[in-house]
This record gives sequence, C-alpha cells and structure tokens, in this order.
Amino acid sequence: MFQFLQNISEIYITGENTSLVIFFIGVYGLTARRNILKSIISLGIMQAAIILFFVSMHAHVEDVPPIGTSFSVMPADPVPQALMITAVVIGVSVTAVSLTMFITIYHKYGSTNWNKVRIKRRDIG
Amino acid sequence: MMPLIGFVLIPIVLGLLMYIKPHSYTKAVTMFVQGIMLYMSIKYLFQLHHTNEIVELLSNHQLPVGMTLKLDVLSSVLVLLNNLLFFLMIVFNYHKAYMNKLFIFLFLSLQGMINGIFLANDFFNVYILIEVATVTVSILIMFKKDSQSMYDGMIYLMVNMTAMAFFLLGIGFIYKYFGVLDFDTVSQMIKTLDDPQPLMMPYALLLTGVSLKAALMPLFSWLPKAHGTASAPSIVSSILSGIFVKTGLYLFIRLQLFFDPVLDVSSYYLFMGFITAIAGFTFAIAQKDIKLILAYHTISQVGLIMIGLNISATSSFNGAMYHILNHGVFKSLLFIIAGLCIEIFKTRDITKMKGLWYHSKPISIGLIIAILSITGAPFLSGGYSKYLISKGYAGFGGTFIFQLLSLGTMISFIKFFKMIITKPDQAKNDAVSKNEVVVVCLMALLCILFGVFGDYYTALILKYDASYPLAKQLSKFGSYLVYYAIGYGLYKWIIEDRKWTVHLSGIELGFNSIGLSIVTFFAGTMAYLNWIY
Repeated sequence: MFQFLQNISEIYITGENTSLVIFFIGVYGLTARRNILKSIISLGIMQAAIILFFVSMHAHVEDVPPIGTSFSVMPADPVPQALMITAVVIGVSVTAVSLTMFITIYHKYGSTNWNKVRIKRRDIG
Repeated sequence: MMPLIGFVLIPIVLGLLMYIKPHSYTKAVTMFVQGIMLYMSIKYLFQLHHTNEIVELLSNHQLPVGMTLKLDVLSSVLVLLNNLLFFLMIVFNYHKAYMNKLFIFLFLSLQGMINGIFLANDFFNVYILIEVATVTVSILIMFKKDSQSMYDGMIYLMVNMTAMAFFLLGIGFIYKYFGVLDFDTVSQMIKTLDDPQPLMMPYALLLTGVSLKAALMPLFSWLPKAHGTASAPSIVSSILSGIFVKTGLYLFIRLQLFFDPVLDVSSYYLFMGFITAIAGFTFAIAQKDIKLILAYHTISQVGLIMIGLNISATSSFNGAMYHILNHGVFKSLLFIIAGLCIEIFKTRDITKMKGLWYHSKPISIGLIIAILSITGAPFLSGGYSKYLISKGYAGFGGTFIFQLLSLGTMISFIKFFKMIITKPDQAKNDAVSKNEVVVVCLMALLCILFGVFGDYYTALILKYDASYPLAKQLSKFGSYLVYYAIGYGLYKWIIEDRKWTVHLSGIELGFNSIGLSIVTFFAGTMAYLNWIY
C-alpha cells in the first residue's frame, strides 16, 4: 500500500501539477475574498505558481546549473529561468503599485472591502 | 531610414529625458518628434508594398535563439494608427495645464510600449510590454487624483493583471510543448501537429487574457470604468479606446493565424462578437454620462470587429481590419469632443448639455461627421468598413444581424444630435482653443477621406481591392435615412425616459464578479474546445 502511494505521488505530484493547483487556489482567492489586500495576495500566489511552473518544466534532479561553457552532463534549460527573473521583477513592481493604490483607497474610502468601496464610489459619482 | 526599434525606444527615451531635464521647449520638441514618428510609420507603410514583411534582428543570433522585431501588413496598420493618434493628441493637448513632465513621460512611454506590442515577434516580449503598459495606463487613469478614479484605476490594474497571469501561464504551456517562444517558429510547429488535444489548455489560457484585453462579452466590465472615468484626461480616454483596446484584437488576430490550422473556433468567437456588440449598445443606450456612452460603444464596436474577423470571407476580414483603423480615428474624435463638451457645459450629463451649435460651430460639425461615421453613413469611413464586413455574410440571418447592430448604434447616438440642436441655456462659452479646433477638423477630414477614397486606402494599407465606388455608396443613402427614421421612432417609443434604462445603467460588476467571469470564460472556452474535438 505504502509502495503504491509512493508510486502514485511520484507520478502525479510534480512541479507542474502542483503549480496548477496553486494557480487555481490564487484564482479562488480572487473570486471568493472581498478583502482588497487578500486579492493582491491572491494575485501574488498566482504569479508564484507561474514561476514554479516555468522553472519546473523539463527539470530533472540530475541537471547541472547552466553556468560556464563546457558540461559533462546536460545542463538545465536556462531560458525559463531567465524569463522568470523578468517575471519576478514585473510581479514585484505590480504588487508595489497595487499596494500603493490600496493605501490611497483606504485613506479615501475608509474600507478594505471591495463591495463597500464600490458602493461608496457610486455614491460619489 | 529609422530602424524599427526606434518606434519603441525614441518615445520612451525622449519622455525620460524631458522628465529629468524639463525645459520651456519640452512640448515643442515632443510635437516635433511625434511628427517624425508619424512620417516614419507612413514611410514604412509604403516600403511594405515591395515586400511582405520587414524583419529586424535585435542581436547577432538568428531565430529561434535571437530576438526580432517584425513589421507586416497587420502590424503596420496598427503602428500607423498608434503614431497618428499620439501625434494628434499631443497637438490637441498643447496648451493644457496638466501637460507637465510626468504626464508627458507616462504618455510617451505608453506610445513606445504600444508600438512595441505591435512589432514584437515573440510571446514573452508581448507579455512584458502589455504588463508595463497596463501599469502606465492605470496611473494615467487616476492622473487627476479624484476619489472615484482611485477605485477605477485599482479595478483596471487588478483585473488586467489577473488576465495577464492567465496569458503568462499559457505562454508557459507553449514553451513546454515547443521549446521556443517566437511567433514564426511556433506557428510553423503548430502546423505540423495532427492532434489538437495538447493545444487546448494553452489556447484557452492565452485567449482568456487576450479576450479580456479586447473586452469581449463577459469580460468587459472593467472597460467603461477605465475609459469613461472622470479623472482621466480626454486624450487618455481617446488613446485607450482608439488604440489600446486594439492590442487585444491584434493579439487575437495573431493567435488565430497560428492556431487556425489545428483549432478552428471561429463560430464560437462569431457568436461572442455578436453578443458583445448587442450588449455594448444596449448599455450605451441606457447611459446618460457622455463618456460612459462612448465607452460602452467601444465594446459594441469591438463586437462588430470580432464578427468581421471570424467570418471566413476575405472581404469581412479586411473590412474588420479597416474598421480597426477607422474606429480608432472616429472614436478618438468623439472622446476629445466629449472632453471639450464637458469643459464647455461643466457637466458630464448629456441631457443637461444644450445648444452645442451655438457655443461652437466647428466642434458641432466635427461631432456630426463622427456620429455619421460611427453609425455607418455612406461616404464616411465607418460606412465603408461596415459595408465590407457585412458583404461577406450574406443571407437573411446575416442581414438581420447587421441591421440590428446599425440600428442600435443609431439609437444610442440620438442624444448627441439632441445636444447639438437644442436651445442653449447658458451664456456663450468659447473656451475652445485654436489647436483643438484644428485637430477636430483634421480628424473629421480623415473620417471623410477614409470613406470617399476608401478604395484607394484599402489598396494602399491592406493591399486589398475592395471596389466599393462612390456611386454604390450613394445607393445606400436612402436605406440609411430610413433606418435612422425607424431608430428615432423606436427611441421615442420604448427608450426615452423609461424606467428600465435607469435600472440598466445601475448594473455594475464588483471585483469578485469580474474575477468569476474570467474563470467562467476560461472554463467555457475549455468546455467548448473539448466538445468540438
């Protein structure tokens, strides 16, 4: 039984599948949580999932880092890693902008709830 | 000849320099450089007549390792439209008080990034440029910093970032299957596939992001807030509706060209386009806020373009492409006129604006030309491209759909005619400056030229022989007038001052509901793909 479970987990619990689960946990957070801060965090979770997806695709435990010019074994694919450095930078800046906006919204409307903010915005307009 | 990278770098570097070292001639230099950019995009357009595409390597490595910029017919149309609109908007805004160094920096960076989106030849560059452009737009939306716009900007940013996260995951799947990210190699590799099964997930993810950018049916709730917000200067609204929403359509066309050999979903998007168009004008009819009417109208026109793109006939596809260009011009014109009207009447409620003809005659004429163009009158640009779109979809059903759409458009613009001809109730306010009038007249002239000489321009820009001469356009004049009369009758009968319009205009989705609609759209696309294959 234990052996069976171990086999199953080796086949199905891979980086890519885990990242898809995490991605949709983030999506759930966006659709179900009314707190603006939690929405920003959910977006961060989605971005983290995407990063995991990119770096775990075609990855093997025995891969060596793609640094240098001559390799004894096949090095890991450097392209997803390079792409993800850019995506991390973009993700950080987007989170920073969202948090700045959130602070301003909180000062103007006095609430962290999407619905309450929406109602107040409608009353102003 | 300027290299293609200049379209991306020159505006951004210029904006940055102006920001670091502002000077009294900042605006003059900006305008001069805009003129050069416009000239270069026209020159490239002529150059494309001798060759199919212009490819520029950005490093010493060839594809698929290196990085390239590519200009073909599709991207040249959009680059031309982008630079044309930015040039006109800078001239229009020359004397405005808020044209400070920060605004110029953000505005010019946006221009460079939109050019980059159209020129980029790989998925990841497109993603990065859209992401950064979205942040820039969200700051421009709340540029005047009033209370409403904070919410609008926040919603815009969060919703678009969610959609782009779907897009990036789609790119991940593309890289996983093909090992490359540039458009050319991916499209060649997709053609060799027999089994559509592995492509479904990346396709649905990419299209979810793109459809939100293009504001298709369940995903358009963010657009009216962003394009119609009180805080955004009118030129920002013009650029958003005129060109930025077209980035979604552009990516849609690109992706369709790649995936079409394996996954054919044109009937799904034809249906979505139809629903989007109907929903767009229905909401537009119910609104009273001048900018919101125009914003909802953008959704309706996106639906129409979507219908054109997904009909298999060549004339419809080229008509839709031509409509992208025409819509960019007349919708920007309508938005800047809306901005001027808000300045003249000091209100955003269109029912309280009275006697525009009395206040300013050239603006009224510009407005009439823009409305005739958007409603599809003969001799004007909108009429020309709408004819081309409907030509490929003959038969009773097709005729009915297009007549319904033009009727809806006509009805939603009746309020604008009323605004021009009613009796003025304020003292004459001629706050409109000369450069603003010049831009309005120039854009109105473009609407006429693109219609009257449509045959010439479609051949020049799209390399397509449309053959819709003036005599044929004239024959449509009678039916246009009859339709407008029917539209006016319907307006008086079921719409004017009715309660349902008030209820409809109050409908607004919150953030969670928008998130849910994104997931629903993704799940729906996946389900449809699994159903047909």
